[in-house]
Amino acid sequence: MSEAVKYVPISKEDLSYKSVRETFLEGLLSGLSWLLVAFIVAFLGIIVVRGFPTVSANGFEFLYTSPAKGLDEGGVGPAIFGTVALVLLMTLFALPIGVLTSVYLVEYAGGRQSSRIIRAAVNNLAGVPSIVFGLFGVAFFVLFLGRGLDGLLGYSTSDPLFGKPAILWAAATMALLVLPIVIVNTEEALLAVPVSLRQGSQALGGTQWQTISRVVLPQAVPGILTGSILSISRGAGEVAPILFTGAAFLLQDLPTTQVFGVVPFIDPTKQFMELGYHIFILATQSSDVEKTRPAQYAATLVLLVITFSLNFAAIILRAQFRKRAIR
Amino acid sequence: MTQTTPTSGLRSDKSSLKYTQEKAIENSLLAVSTLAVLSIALIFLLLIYQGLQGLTVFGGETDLSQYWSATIEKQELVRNPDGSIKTDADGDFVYEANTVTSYDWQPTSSDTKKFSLVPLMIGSAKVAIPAAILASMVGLLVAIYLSELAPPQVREVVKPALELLAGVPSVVLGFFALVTIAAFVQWFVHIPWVFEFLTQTPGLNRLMFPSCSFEAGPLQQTCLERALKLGTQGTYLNTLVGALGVALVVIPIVATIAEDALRAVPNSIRDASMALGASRWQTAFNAVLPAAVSGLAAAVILGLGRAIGETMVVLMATGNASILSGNVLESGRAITATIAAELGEAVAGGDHYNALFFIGAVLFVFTFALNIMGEIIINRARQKVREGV
Repeated sequence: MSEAVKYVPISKEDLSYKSVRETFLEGLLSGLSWLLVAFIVAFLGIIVVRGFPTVSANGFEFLYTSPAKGLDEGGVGPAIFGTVALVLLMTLFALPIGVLTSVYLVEYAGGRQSSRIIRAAVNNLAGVPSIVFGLFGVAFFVLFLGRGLDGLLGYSTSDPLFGKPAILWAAATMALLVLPIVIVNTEEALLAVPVSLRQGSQALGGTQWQTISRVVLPQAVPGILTGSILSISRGAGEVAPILFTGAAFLLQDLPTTQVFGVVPFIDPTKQFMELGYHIFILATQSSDVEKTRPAQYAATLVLLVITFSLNFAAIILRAQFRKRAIR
Repeated sequence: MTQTTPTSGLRSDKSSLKYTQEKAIENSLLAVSTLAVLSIALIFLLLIYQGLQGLTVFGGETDLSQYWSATIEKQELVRNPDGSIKTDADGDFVYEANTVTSYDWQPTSSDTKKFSLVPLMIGSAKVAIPAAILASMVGLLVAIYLSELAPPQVREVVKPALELLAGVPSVVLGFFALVTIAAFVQWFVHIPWVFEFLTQTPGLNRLMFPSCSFEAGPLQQTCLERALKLGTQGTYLNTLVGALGVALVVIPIVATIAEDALRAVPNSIRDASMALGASRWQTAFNAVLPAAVSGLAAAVILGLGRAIGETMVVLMATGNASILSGNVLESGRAITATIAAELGEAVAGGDHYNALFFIGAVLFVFTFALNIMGEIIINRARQKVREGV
């Protein structure tokens, strides 16, 4: 590891041509790195400074009010709700599939051919452009599955229940996109569980599944959580996959329904507003782009705070379970 | 990790309930795991299938050449031998119908729909190549500095900053490019000597602004100034703005992969170089870098793949005009942005819809090939390190 190479500052007495030249070049590289840091700080600073006044005005009403007068005024309440609903549904799809796939890869498949094929597929899934997921979502989920379900349930194509863009299909599309994140993180967590624990369980007569479900998985929970938080952060920020699978420009109603007339519940067949999509719409499609600029900065700030706090939580969790794994 | 095989007691009694249960669990896990494989196969097949559907609709027969160019009848102005525009007795312009080869992407045009991929590929290249070059330079240099030269205190600041940048959603970077980077580029080209250099240098101005490549004179000057000030579409968004935004997406990716590659170089190489009296700089660039070169190449390839596939930044910051121009200061329409901007209004199953799937398939194949290439290089490099070469 590079850490082993001690940092030896070039001594001031050594003024040979070589060392002066190298000090200069190293200064350039360090300047480039600091420039990048300064740029990132400035970039985030601009968004905070320009966005915060709008977010905090009138007791943070920007966070819970609906857009008004087209999109010109009002807040991002429905967009925040839509984003949360989207990542909730997405996690419902991605988490079980991702965790079970990792369990198979780590605990059963080992070096088998099947594990190599699955791993290659997962790696490549991570490299597919996000807009391609959007295309796939439209063709497969909305038109094929959705219309197929409608056909089975007897809904017509003119008044479809499932055969139209909806939060269900947006979440399914997003789940595919974040699946590799869940799998990679869960795998790491499973591999960090000491072999001795598995052997202990088996020595006591536990079957392989008993060992996995009662010994290995509970140990791997922090890692699984890290993966889900990171995937939620990614899912909250991606826009391309939901452009055509369920996100809406402006909606009067939240994507909710009432079960038994009382309990509010996410209605999977409705469209929804989403924060990232809202930023895109505000910045490029609203009637007066310059006028809504403060709202654009504010919505961007809200999205950044959400994704950064999720990433931060994931980093802390990961640091903790790595520490435990070393012990 | 296959330290855990089913316990021998179970294996000996295959008829036991426990054994059947365990087998059933293993098989259902395998079934769930194949979902990842299934979905990638399905994505590929669906894009190809839907894309090839498109080919059969042009005039009822399969014609792949439509995606390259189209032969169309075009009404063109007639010019006199001296180059001026011919007019008839009433002073109106005279037109004649010519058969020309068009390289246009006009999928919803009212007369002949045109589906040439040429302007889209140019648009993608104009964004992805400058972005990948810039991001590779910055990403690789920062990775080398962080891994080989930087004092630990500097690492502890720069690395988290890069991770922060990696966590920024691309729609936010697109917004930043649209507002701030675009204004910066405008300011930059309006610095008097830059402006003069771009518009006055003979040859350069024609190369950069093909739409203004007529005779030098006040008219051309106006055209150049307009093109530079606003872009040809009356907006200051252009592919350079998009490329700078995409570079911000790609820098953390290149830096992370490159740093992994440098870390994988065994310390014995560093020690040997230092023991021979080389300075840290010489060690970094003459000993460590050559050993990690394949990993660094993989970082660049994967970065290029990401740059081609990036959607939101490109959609928001490049202006999206599908014009044939190699100039990064003019607008461009990338493949990803085309799909994102047009799929919403395309009728499912129609020519336009199928054509969008075709370009989606092209995009998929391209990025897939780059990813596989990067992965193969990384795996080879890892194997080399393991074998101790």
